[in-house]
Amino acid sequence: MTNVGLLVLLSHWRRNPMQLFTLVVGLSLATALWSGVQAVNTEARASYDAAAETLGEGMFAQIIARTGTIPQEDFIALRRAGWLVSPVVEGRLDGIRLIGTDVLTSPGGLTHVGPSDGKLTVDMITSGILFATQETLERLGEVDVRKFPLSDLPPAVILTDVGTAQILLGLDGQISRLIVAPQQPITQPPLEVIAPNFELIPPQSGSDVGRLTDSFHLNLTAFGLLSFVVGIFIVHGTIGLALEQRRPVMRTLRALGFPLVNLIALIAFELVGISVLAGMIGVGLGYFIAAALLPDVAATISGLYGQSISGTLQFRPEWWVSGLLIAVGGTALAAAASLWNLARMPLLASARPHAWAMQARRSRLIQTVFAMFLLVAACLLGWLGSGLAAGFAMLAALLIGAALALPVILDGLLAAAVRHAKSIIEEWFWADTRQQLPGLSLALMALLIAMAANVGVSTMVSSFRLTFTGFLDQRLASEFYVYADDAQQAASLRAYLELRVDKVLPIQSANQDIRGLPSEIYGPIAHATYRDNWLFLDAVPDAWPLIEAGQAAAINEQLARRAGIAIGDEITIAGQPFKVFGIYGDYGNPIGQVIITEAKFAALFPDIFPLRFGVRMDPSRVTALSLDLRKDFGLNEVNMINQAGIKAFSLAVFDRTFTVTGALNILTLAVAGFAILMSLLTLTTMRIPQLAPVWAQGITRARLGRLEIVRAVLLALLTTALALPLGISLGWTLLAVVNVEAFGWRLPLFLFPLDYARLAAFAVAAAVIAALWPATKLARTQPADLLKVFANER
Amino acid sequence: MLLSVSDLHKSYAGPDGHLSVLRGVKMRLARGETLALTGESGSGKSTLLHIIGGLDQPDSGIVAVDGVDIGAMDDAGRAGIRRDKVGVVFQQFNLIPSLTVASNIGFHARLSGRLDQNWIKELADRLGLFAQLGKYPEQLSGGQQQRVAIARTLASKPALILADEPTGNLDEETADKVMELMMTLAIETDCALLLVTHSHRLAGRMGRRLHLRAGQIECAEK
Repeated sequence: MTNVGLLVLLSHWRRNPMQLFTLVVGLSLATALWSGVQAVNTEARASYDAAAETLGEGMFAQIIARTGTIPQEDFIALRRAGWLVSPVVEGRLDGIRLIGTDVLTSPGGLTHVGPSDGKLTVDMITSGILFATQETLERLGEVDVRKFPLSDLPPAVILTDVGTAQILLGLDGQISRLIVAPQQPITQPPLEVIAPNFELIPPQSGSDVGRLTDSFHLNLTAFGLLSFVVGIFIVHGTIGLALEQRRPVMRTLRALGFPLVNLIALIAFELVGISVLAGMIGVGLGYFIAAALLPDVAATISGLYGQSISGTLQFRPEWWVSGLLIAVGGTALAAAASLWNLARMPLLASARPHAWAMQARRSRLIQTVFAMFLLVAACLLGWLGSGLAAGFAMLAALLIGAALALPVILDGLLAAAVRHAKSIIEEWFWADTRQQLPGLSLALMALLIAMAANVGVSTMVSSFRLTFTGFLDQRLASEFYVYADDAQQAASLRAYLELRVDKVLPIQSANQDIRGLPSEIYGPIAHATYRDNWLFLDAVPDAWPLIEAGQAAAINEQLARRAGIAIGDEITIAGQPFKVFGIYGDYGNPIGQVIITEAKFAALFPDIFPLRFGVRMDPSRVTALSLDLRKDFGLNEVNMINQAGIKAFSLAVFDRTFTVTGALNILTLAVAGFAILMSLLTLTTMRIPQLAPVWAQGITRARLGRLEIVRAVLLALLTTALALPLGISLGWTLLAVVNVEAFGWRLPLFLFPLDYARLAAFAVAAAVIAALWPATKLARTQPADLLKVFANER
Repeated sequence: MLLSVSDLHKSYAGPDGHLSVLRGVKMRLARGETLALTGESGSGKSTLLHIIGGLDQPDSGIVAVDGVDIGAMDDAGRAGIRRDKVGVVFQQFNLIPSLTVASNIGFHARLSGRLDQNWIKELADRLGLFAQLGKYPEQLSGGQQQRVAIARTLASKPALILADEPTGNLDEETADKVMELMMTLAIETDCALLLVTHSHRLAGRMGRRLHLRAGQIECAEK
């Protein structure tokens, strides 16, 4: 019995191969975009995490020698004095970074090289082995040391023990730096006493740009999810239609004694089979998408961290599992309503080929109520909610609520158009479009989400870019930056520069907790550079003169938000109270920042002297000055930064970061275009009985075809018009809610009408391309096929 | 002569080769005349009707409506004939589901630029559709839908009305009423009526009668 039932059900797909194609492609694309984005994210994170964990860079305080390398005897002296330090020997071998560490003395979290079965640790202590990825090892020339491939390591990095590294790098008895364990004995003598030439560098509190990259990963994940939702809309529509079309068969099967439960089980089985197939195709496609996107991501991460990440993919088994699970889960989600309807279908329910559309019309009220509920929920979450989860819930409620509201809004607009139609063709056109709405609404909802995501993300990215450019102007206002090695050199440099440039701006900072939050206190001199470039998000009138007069302080947005500090509130710096008169944007900085005058800073932190200087000067003279400084002070490249170069580099990194977002934008729109194409193709066959009477009354097939294209364009334009405010709301939510919750700073929202117009043109082009085939098919429908409608042969 | 058909041939490609549906059909119909076309299923009645109505093309022969050979016309030309000269009533009614009854009735008349609101009101009144004007086709019974289809055809006052089994889906009593109305209105508007039917009883009410067998006019009766 089961076999017979399955054969009958499967025969539907044999007779409707296009529907099967739509289902498989829709699901495959949804899975592909999701798993592709996840693959990119996982790979990029894995590479970066491996780099961070393996090298321990920035996690711990470090000791370096001002003179270059650290003699091994000094390391031993420090250990004997009670300093818990661990040696690192570092250098380049065949252009590859070689790092030697000491497993016995390294603090926890360092030298985490992979399988922690103890074997590797023992190997690293007892014998020289080079650990690296297979690729890196293949790049390495002939060396007389055993090699061991480890896929968990970052690319272009070789890890080994200190002794082997010293031999290979020719650094016998020398150590590059010392890692300082976080927990140190209380009684240890100060570093200056044991090694006066050494410098203790505190742990980095996190990379500014690294935080921006977290934002980038978050965007990618959100995009993957949106693409998946768009794909699931296609699947939902196709499954619904297939089940509706098979109603007569199901009714017959049941009338012949086939139990309903078995029927549902068979359909579920059939759908699982299709979803597994589509999931496998999707994961495969996702792999190619990820492979295409990854070089951009790799280039970006490389630019951001100065670390290589793998530009190629590893095919991880978890992708297969997660890809298949998401495909089956998505199908289950898309099919749930249809299966539920089937379970409740009376045995004698009539076969209605348009029941799909009729059902949608009947459930419009429920849909409207649900849409309203979600939109109200989104507003309430935006108003009252807090936390990242609330931010994402708001995004979801906004998108789904708007998507559900779309058919209702379009129906209302079309009904109004019918009422105001001048000619009968116009009236028929609007009324007919209204009738097509239930059949097209899923595709239009997919288009709405894709468009809104595009508008939202491009608004966010472009706002981000504008803000970032402004931020760079603010932070890199000086044409040239010089770093001194010590206080004495700093004083000489300052005197030297003051004679040659427009203005020298000393940069000095101290670390201090403000209201329990780690913060940096800056003490710049009073100068137009700050007044002109450091723009306040919120401030009292004439804030800069008041701050420069030493009466008040300015703080960054992060500190204001996290500590709940408002304009006029008081903060305490080194025991002295300051009123906050200005709050400025400080994008990318994870910690708090306070600006007071140079004089106040000198009074509060007398031991701190500026080692860095911003130099205001004629940009054309920067090169000449840097040559003079090299000659007169022996400064090398790392001590001098040309503002123009670093700005260009930062912007290039930023733009490359969002190349991936741009590619995903286009892919998501393409999926929505595919949804429209498939819906129109499906409707074409259902349309003939509706169009034949109109044709019979004297409208040519060619004109009907043209009207179909006009209809698709109009619906795309209406959807775009609704997608714009939705997308801008989405952008606002990302900038003002999600970003604030995730990273602590709020980015201003800018609007980009030209970008939106271009996007609308893309959407219309997608609709025209999608409608072209069905319209041509319709225009070329043979009169004999149209006549079948009148001969009751259909 | 309003309609003149001569030596009309039409065949379709089928699984067993070409199937000749019409083989040298010849007929004429004048304004104000009513003609019944009868024949067995598959005899070619509907094909002939469709060619006359400009819905299909003949393989050869001449079909002249108001002196114009529509067989030689392109798609746009035939669409013009359907719009301006001919009105067709189908067995399946074939109303436009997205339009109200009022819009359906006025559709053809507005399309051909011959909208006469008073005439439409009169038609709706006489066909008992006044109360249904704001409804959609799916809300009507079969008899009501057929009356709407007839009203739509008559509203544009075409020169030639083609009716393909117009009462085939109706019970006898309703069919008689609908037929009576259609004939009365056709005569009042001075148009020619060509009725395709299986029913000898209905055919007997027409002015003339043609019987089609295997694609050829077998006999003509007065």
